[in-house]
Amino acid sequence: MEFLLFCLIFFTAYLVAFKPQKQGMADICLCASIGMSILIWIIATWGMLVPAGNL
Amino acid sequence: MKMKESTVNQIVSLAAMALIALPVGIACIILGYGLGDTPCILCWQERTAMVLVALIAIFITRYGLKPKYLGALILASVYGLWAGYRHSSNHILKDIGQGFGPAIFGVHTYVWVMVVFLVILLFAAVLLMLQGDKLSEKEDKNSWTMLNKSTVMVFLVVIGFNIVQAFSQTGPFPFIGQSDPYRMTFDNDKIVWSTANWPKLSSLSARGSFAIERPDFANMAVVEGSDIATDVSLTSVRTQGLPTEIIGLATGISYSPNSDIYAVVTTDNWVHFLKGDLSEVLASVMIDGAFSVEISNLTGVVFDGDNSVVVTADHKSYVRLEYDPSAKIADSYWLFMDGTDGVRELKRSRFSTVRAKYNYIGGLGWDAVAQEYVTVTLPAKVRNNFVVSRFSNQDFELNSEAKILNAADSYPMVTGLAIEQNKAYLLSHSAEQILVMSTSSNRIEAAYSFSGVANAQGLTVVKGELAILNGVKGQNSVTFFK
Repeated sequence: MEFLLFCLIFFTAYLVAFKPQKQGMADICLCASIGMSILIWIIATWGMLVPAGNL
Repeated sequence: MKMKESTVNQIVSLAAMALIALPVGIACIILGYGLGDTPCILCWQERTAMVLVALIAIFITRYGLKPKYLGALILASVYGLWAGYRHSSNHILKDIGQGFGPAIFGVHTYVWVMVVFLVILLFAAVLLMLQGDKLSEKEDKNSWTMLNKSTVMVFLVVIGFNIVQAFSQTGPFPFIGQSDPYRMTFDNDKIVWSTANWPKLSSLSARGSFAIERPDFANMAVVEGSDIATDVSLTSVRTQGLPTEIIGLATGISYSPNSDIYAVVTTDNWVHFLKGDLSEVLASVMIDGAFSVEISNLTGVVFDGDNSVVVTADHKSYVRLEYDPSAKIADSYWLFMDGTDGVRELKRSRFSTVRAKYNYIGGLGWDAVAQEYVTVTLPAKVRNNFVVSRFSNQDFELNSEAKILNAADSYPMVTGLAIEQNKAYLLSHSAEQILVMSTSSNRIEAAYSFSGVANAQGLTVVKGELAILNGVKGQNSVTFFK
């Protein structure tokens, strides 16, 4: 999963650097990267989403 | 004064380069490739949140300071900050020096995550304040300075290193990061790819093993199989109602033979001192549970001197009080919400435990021989413990802890304790028994059954008899057994 996410981030940065006219696609890739990262974090913390300790 | 767009562009570009080169570059290239550290699954996403912030900064240098990118920047930063807080919470209060993974300047990486995102948010706030009334707009998205190009090249190189590390150490989809990853290696025989962190639907929880239900002493959970086989039954001698001024649910009782007085506590923070025949309340106070230490759901009281008691909450916070007819409640405004003259507070703090850390308690005992306060855990579904903890009366710190050796199938709900010589009498609410535990071996050696007490909440020894408190709101009573 992390490998896929970093590939997506690399592709997004490539678009911004070398294909600036494709801003719309870059925006979509940015949102997808943020969403995928949060998804992996939720998977990782699925059994305890909030911090440990006395709340 | 409004900052020019080109100046903003260069500052943001430098910040993006610093972010990708320092925390992310150091973590990946120096700690990873250099020192063999493989990120755990949480570290991977904290690192990714920093990468996303740097990427958003590159978007800003290319397309200008647009609200959608500012929104994304705040989202990614708050996400990173929360992820760092969640991760740090697992480790930050362990014993001194007991961190997880490598440390930079003595601070572990998951703590640095919080520092990095706080700096990012502060930096962004200052930059926005310097924008004045309106955001700078970029005229030409094709203009791209040497600094912008350098930043994105550094970004792509660092991400390239991350791609290789992520593929080699965590594997392609559906493999995912690990909780305790092995040292980084390119040796196929040693690399582990795992799907162990994929969740099960049923395991979804906000608090996980910290979701421990607080005891409700009016309706305590039934624990099947917590009784111990015994032929010995106690005989009821008499039952006496407590004065009607005690309107709350009584959950603890203690008797002082030298002063011939009782102390009784209720769940709503009232502490009462009563005459030796239980006919009259001598003095009462309602503890202010919000002052200094949270005190609520009182569960135990025990005399540790002729006139002094320690009162404890179900979460092991305690207050030490003294019955003194000359004490004036007006002198203790900040300590007591209500009450009468005659009670003075000596101390309030918390008992800290190790094995009993995640369990509530149902009572408090006093071992006069060892000069120790004694608690026993209430078992919980996610923390099924039966542990006795002993605390010094000198500094109120933990002296010792042990698992109680018990022959029953499941652990009892102990709601009262009384200690005489080398025996601890544990009041088992769940089995309607008094369990006799050796204070030297922590083994349950005998059990006595009793009946006729609907809600057994407290235990004390009075002139050779066992007095069991029956906690019923407004109708509390004590039954004496032989």
